Amino acid sequence: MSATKRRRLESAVTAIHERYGPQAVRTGAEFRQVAAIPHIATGFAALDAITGCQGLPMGALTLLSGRTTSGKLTVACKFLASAQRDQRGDVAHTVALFDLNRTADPDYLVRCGVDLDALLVVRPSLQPQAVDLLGDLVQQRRLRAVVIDCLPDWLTNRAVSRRLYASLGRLQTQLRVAQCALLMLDDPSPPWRRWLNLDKSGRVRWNAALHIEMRREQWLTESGVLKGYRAQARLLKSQWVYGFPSAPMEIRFNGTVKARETW
Amino acid sequence: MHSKMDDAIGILCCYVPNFLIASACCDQPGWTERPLALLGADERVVAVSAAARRSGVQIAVRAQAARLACPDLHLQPLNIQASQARQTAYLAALGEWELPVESQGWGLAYIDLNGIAHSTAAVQPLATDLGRRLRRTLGAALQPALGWDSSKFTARAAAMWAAPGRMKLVEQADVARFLAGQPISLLPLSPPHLQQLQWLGIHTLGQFAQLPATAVWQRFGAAGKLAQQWARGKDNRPVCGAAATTYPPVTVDIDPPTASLQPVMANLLASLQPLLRTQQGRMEGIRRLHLAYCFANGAESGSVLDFVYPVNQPARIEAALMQQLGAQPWPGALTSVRWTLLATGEVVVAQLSLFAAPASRVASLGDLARPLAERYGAVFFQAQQSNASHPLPERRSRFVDVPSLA
Amino acid sequence: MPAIRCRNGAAGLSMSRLWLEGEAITVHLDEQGRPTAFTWCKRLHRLLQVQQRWQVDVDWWSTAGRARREYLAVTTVDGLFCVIYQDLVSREWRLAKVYD
Repeated sequence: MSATKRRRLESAVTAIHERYGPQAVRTGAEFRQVAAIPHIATGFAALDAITGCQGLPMGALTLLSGRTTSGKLTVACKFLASAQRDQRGDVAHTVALFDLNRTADPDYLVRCGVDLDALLVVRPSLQPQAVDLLGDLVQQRRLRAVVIDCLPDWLTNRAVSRRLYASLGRLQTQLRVAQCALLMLDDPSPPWRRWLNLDKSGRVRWNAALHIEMRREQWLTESGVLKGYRAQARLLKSQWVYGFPSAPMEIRFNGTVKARETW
Repeated sequence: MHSKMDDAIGILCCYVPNFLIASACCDQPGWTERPLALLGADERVVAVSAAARRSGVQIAVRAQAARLACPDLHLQPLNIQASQARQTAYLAALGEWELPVESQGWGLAYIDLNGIAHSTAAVQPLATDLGRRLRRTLGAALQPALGWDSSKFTARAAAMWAAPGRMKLVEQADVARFLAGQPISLLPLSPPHLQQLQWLGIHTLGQFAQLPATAVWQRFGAAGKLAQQWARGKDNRPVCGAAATTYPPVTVDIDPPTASLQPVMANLLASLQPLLRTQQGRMEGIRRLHLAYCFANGAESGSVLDFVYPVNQPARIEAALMQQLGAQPWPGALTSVRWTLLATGEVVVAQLSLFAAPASRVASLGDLARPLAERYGAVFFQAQQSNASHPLPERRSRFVDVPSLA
Repeated sequence: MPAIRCRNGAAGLSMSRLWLEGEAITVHLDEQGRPTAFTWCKRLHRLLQVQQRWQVDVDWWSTAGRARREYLAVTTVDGLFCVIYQDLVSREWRLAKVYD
């Protein structure tokens, strides 16, 4: 911007401030500072940057969808590890994992940084009571984050899905009061089904503050050896961001899963 | 309008966590191994070691209650002279730069870096040098955590966030993000106010900063309004140097003159009320108070009331005054008391934050699962690594039933 | 350093979904006996590449706990990265892990 334009803009802003008060006009940077939303970082800086709240929101529901080997479970595990820790990096909070399909791998969780002593693994049977259990756990106000792995296990059962839909409103209030972050892992739906609200997770999506879709894009090899893959996280819904920004991510398999954004 | 950004103030906060305990342990190294609490002149606990705090010992409780909470407790009287000598050495080391240094009680001081360093790159070498010098002077047990920002509150929050021997420098652009995740108990609000915030589900400064200002004012008054500004990173208090502020004396006439404690106390407290209200609004407290007594027979005497931590709660002031006046010889009926405020200070956060502990929310898995196990059955598990190097992935770990663990 | 390192057989792999008993799968082999595809959850997954192959023979002193297996870390055409194994005693194929 030229100096003249900048001066004109500044004088206009000053005039507005004098007439309507300092809250009337603010720069984008100032607005970002004020609107600090309680959140938990995922550990993927590029993903955190597009969500609009610097991570996944506390006190709200987030939907994370993606096909198998898209990186969604890695994001979920890193998110659990991050949720357990305070700002010094010490384990200070308890989290829960609803392992609905009974395939949680403790070895993998540890490699992602999750402290198993502060992780409650919940393996309910496929009954409507499982949804009540989620609400009751959140209501205890002792959990900082809960991951549901994965939502289709509930939605394929008519009785459970009906109970879930009926509980969503109450669940949101419980999350808000407890300041607990809820992350539900889901399979992706074709855009046209989402558009027409024909997908099973539509009602959950409607109640989610954030919806992210993960997609694996490319295998990463070095000298013919697979070393990881590149994925793309796309924001399909956010209470704080307009549009559908996306973020590239790289997930590597070098013994421990390392997360770093592509640059 | 003159904005804070234009001023580019830089304040370095030096904070030695639990200064009194660390100082006592320097004199008696054997004390570090046991839960330790120090008793003040009023027979109440004034400092608690981390081990004792874990056992439930709190500041301001009586010795008996402290022992009940922790039977293993090593309870010792506070050696105020030794602590003061260390505090003086600490402040002298901070004053070597010949910059304005404001002492705010045990182990907490602000240094005004205005005009010296305005960016993290400039502050870092200065802070490193200061940290090394303090460690040399006072030893590793008393090394401070350093925090830097353009405002006092954020600098203090940064120093409290950093571990001893470390520094946290907060740039202007990162203030909101840094403060947002900090616990609400960093604000020196009164315990009932902190408890109210806890009940409302407000755990972090970010949440508190977002509350409507008018609602905060209505519910928490002037102190709440000020606290919210601090939580938003707006704190324009300057660093006041070593030059002590002088306060005018206040004379309280006791009419009719009396040798009874009750009417004297009532008059004294009534005269202190406006000061305490003002201090509560500023989240400050009395550190030192001089009392001069005039008796009907012409005799005069005086005493100084020292508080280990700044106090603005009427009940605490009343208890201390009662003890002071009770111990004072009364040669006749008292005609007047003249009090002079000698020193004030910020209300100590650590003392009040004992009422709420949002930072430690590690709930035991058994506590979480037990109330629900009866209704939902054996659905709660803890994952355990049984043999992390086993060649078969399924034999590296296992799931254990949580209620049976408990 | 190779991305997938097999120390003592299988250690070093980072996977996510783990089936304790292994998911039964049907593996399709070519003329040389090399796997080309597998059927899991009624879906055929054609193999893109076998990334790594290793054998284990553990806990041989225990009758019930002995495991003789050949593991394969494979990528599939439809984008899966998973670990399958063949029990060298029963000759059954199973899915051990899927990266999610």
